[in-house]
Amino acid sequence: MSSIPASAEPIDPLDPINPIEPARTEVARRDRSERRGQLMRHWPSFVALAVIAVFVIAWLARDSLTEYSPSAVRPLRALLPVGSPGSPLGTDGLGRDLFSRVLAGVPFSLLFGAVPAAAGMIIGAAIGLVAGYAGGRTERVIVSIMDVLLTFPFILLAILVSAVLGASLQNAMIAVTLSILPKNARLIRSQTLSLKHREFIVASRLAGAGALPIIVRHLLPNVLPTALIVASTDVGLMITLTAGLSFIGLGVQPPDVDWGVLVAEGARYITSAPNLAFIPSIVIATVSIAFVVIADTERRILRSSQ
Amino acid sequence: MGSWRTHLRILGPIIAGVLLITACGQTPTQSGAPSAAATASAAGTATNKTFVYGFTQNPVGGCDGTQALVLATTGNCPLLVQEALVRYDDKVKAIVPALATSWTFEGLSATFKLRQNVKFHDGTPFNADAVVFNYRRVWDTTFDQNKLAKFPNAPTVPFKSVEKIDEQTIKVSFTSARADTMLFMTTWPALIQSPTAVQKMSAAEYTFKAVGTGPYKVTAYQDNARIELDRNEDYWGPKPAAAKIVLVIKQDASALVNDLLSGAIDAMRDPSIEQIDQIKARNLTVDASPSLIFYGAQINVMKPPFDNVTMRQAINYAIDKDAVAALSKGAAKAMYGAIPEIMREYNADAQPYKYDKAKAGQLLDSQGWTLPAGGKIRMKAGQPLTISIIQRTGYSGVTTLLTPAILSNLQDVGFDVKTVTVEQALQYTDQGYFDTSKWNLGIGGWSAVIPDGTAMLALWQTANLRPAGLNMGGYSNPAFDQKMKDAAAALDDATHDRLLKEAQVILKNDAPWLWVFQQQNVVAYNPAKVAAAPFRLQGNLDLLNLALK
Amino acid sequence: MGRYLLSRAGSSLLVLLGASIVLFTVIRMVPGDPMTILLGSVNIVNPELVARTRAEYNLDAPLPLQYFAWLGHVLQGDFGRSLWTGEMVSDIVGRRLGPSLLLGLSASMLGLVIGISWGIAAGYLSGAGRAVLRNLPMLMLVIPTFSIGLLLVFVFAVSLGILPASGFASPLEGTTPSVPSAILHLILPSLALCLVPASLVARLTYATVDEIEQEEFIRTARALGVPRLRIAIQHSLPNVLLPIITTGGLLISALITNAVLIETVFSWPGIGTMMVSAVQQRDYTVVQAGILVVATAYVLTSLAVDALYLVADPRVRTPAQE
Repeated sequence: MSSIPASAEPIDPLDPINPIEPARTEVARRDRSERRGQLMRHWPSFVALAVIAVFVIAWLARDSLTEYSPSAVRPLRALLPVGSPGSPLGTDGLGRDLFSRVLAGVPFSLLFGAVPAAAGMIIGAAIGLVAGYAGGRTERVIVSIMDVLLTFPFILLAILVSAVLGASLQNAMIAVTLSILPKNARLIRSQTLSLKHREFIVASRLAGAGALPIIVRHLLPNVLPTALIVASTDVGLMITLTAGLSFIGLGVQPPDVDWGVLVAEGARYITSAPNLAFIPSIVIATVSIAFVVIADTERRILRSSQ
Repeated sequence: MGSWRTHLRILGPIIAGVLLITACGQTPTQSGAPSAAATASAAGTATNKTFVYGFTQNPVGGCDGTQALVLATTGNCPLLVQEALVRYDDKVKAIVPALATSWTFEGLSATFKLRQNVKFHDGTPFNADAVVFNYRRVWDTTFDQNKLAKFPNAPTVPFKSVEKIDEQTIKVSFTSARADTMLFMTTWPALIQSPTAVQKMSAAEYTFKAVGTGPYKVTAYQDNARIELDRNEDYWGPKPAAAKIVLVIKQDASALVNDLLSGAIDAMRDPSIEQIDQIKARNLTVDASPSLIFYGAQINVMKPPFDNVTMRQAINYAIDKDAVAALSKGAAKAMYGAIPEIMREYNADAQPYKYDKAKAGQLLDSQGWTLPAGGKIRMKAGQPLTISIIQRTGYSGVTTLLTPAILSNLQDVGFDVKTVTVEQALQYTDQGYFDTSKWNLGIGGWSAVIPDGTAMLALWQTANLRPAGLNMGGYSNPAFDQKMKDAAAALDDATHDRLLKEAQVILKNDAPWLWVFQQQNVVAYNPAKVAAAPFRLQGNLDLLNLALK
Repeated sequence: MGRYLLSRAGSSLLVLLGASIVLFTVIRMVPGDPMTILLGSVNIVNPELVARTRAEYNLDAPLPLQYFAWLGHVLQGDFGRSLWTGEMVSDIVGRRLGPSLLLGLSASMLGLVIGISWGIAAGYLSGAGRAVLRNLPMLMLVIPTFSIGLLLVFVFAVSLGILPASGFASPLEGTTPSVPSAILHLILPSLALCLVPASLVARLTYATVDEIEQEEFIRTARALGVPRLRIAIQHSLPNVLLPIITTGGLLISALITNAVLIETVFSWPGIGTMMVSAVQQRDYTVVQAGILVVATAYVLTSLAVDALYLVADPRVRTPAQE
């Protein structure tokens, strides 16, 4: 929203493509054994992939891993501590098994992360490509709208959407997608701008190719890597953001389970059973971090191949 | 705790609009004679202490009792500041004198002898003219004062006219003879305001500066925040314990709990369940007493599988009500039949639905719904036993237990349960519960404004079907309707009670409702300051019978 | 410089106007009678109020005129009545604004102080400390703030018992006003809220430090033995202010979003919790007022930050192209 004169280039603290790092000189080496070594340098991302895989597999195998269903109320087993037989992560105030409930949240939370990130990138990239390529008035209009929305507090949007359409999972995803559109649009637009004047684009235009084929065949493949990296980071951010919406009651509604709802329910028992709030919190953090690490690795790979 | 508020809002017009009673035959007169025990309240001795009481629901509409929409938890101010001609005493379970010293009730009319030498807080006298003014204001649509405000509870009394017989006597005539009329005359629509004060300002202003004859007067009113009341030292009756009462309203129950623990408030109602242990651990007292509110789920009898009565009975056996009561830490009591135990008309022989999982299974089997080998969901002719529960958002306290408990118990006996959630504000709209195609069970509750069985069972009458009332599930039984009609017209308690007990038998056999618990009124207070904090049955803390140390 | 500010003020105004039009339209699209939506089922029974409202809000006129009538009311501070409690929304907002501002301001100050110190430490330390401090900000952005809030509650309120677990204590009003109590209640929420802005500030700070370190005169100074702390304070600090100001909008936005979460965790009676419960009740008038108030606050602070930027950066004191 603050439009700074072009003479001062702002440092964007959230920019995953150009992260704030000290200048380093790197020499790219293509030796085969070196390549294997390079691969091993990216060990954090393997760990991250493994973590996500574990969650997904655990969810798929949930019937054999858990003794109780996530909704099974067992008053006699209320507030059992971590490590109790049958409930390794403890039980909540109604005796429901926390492990089972955490697993039940996996599809919701992953959906919550992936769908808005993908949709936000697809739509945002489309807007950015159009703005960047079209130029002129179209670009100026789009840019000013996006600039205004860019730093607009996302929570206000989420609240408005929920107030009018109702608080639900779908509406939370809509709000969250809308909130990351502007930043993606802006990013893709700046990429488009730098690509616009490259020889092969100019050549195509001179050869008479229309805008759409150029965008699709030439620009799109070139912005794709960036788009992918940003979208991957976004998945992590979205998971946390939407957990926040569920936490305050604007996302998934009980008795459906997602990790944000679990933290909210657990917060009521923070004095007697802190595991109920903190285990889902750790899960949210872990999965988000995993996605961010993967995105970070993608970026490094992209960098080193340029 | 929200759904019953709406019920109460609708209850009045429904009760009135529904029963077409014609007075016929027996009209035994009822009279109230003053007795020393009844007039003396059971209050503790008067002190010069201030009592600070916190709760979460804002008394919407202010302090003018005649305009109150939401009654039970929010009626504190009107009940302290205003009085009616008669009063219901929870202890003796009878109507006792208040601003009237005696009366006779003949069904179609009632004659009251008014108390002498009583003044309103603004110094103007309470007399027959004042009563006529007040009653006409609420009920007489030709009266100009009636047009300046709305009186949502007016239809509870079948009012016809009021006349001043002499300075000490007034006579009220009714359009029909109903057993519950005198009960309604003890409460909301009949609370007496100072005519001078009412006429001095608009209804919207007056309600925050209400003037009555009661033991307290309003000294400060900040809507949705704080109400201060000072004791009326010129009150005609026994003085209540607290010299000053401060009502603190905060939407967040845990903030109130913090206030209680820190001593900023002396008592609060309905602490959240998780905090009850915490409160007790700090040596504060948590008391629970019966209320006129119960919860469970409406059963949609128009939609399979619950168009079949055996299926409805089956699910009533399938719910572990005692477990819910245990989880509620005293805020709820198991309910095995159609009306709460506290009611005088309670039929102890019509309480079959204690938790019996085996019996539930048998009943389901008998209807052809059986569990396949190794399966969890019952099947019949290749179809799974799927049902849908509808609930609203924003449950707090005990009501948060309903959906999870019902869901879990039904899953345990082989149902495949889906849930639908609608926003609290949309509950009673076509996007909510009114769309009966969406649900088999609708989480909700019911309550009575007055401790009368007909009010408690009113929901299941045919006349309460949509769109007139909230009988959304579609239950209709003429035999039940007849019992209710006869009971309402029966002016003697014995007949009235017998008929209602028979009505309860019909209901338990037809099982139109999934009964789960009777809500208790829960108050948490500081025993170092408060000796006793009793509740009125209607749900308000009985601030007139408070005992302070 | 004046012209730049004027044009920024102008565009801010347009943004607010646009937001108000969007708000007005969106809420009008909600099914239901506008009168009920304006007054709520509570007040709808009051004939005098209904007539007055009909006239004041121009409900019989076409939509654009209705918008202007509504806008007129809003500009006078009249947001209508709560659909749930019937109270004047301006009274509700008035009550909630103080706690939110208090929380926001203390979190901002805390965030700046912690962020800058963190960034400087990350800039000048070496080894493991450096790696940790530099990677922590990104973690802070993905670890849920409400979890951090709960963690603070657990450690300081539940386990150690030295700070209150929730709630707001007013320093000035109420039955027992107390500044010490107000501060005690403010500590944990401010701490929880400041961490995200602090991380963003830290990132900016250590990037600035890295840039500075490359400068010739700094390397000379280091070679000559000038202590790092002095370099940090004399050179890094002034230079980091500019980037912080340029990203001011982003920082405020992050603060606002997280404030709602933190207010919920600590039962802080602010605008955030007001809006969230209003959503549950479909209390449109309250939601509308809340969004307007917060959006206005956001736009005004962004504007102030831009003005600050102009003061801070002498390179820009000429009309700039936008």
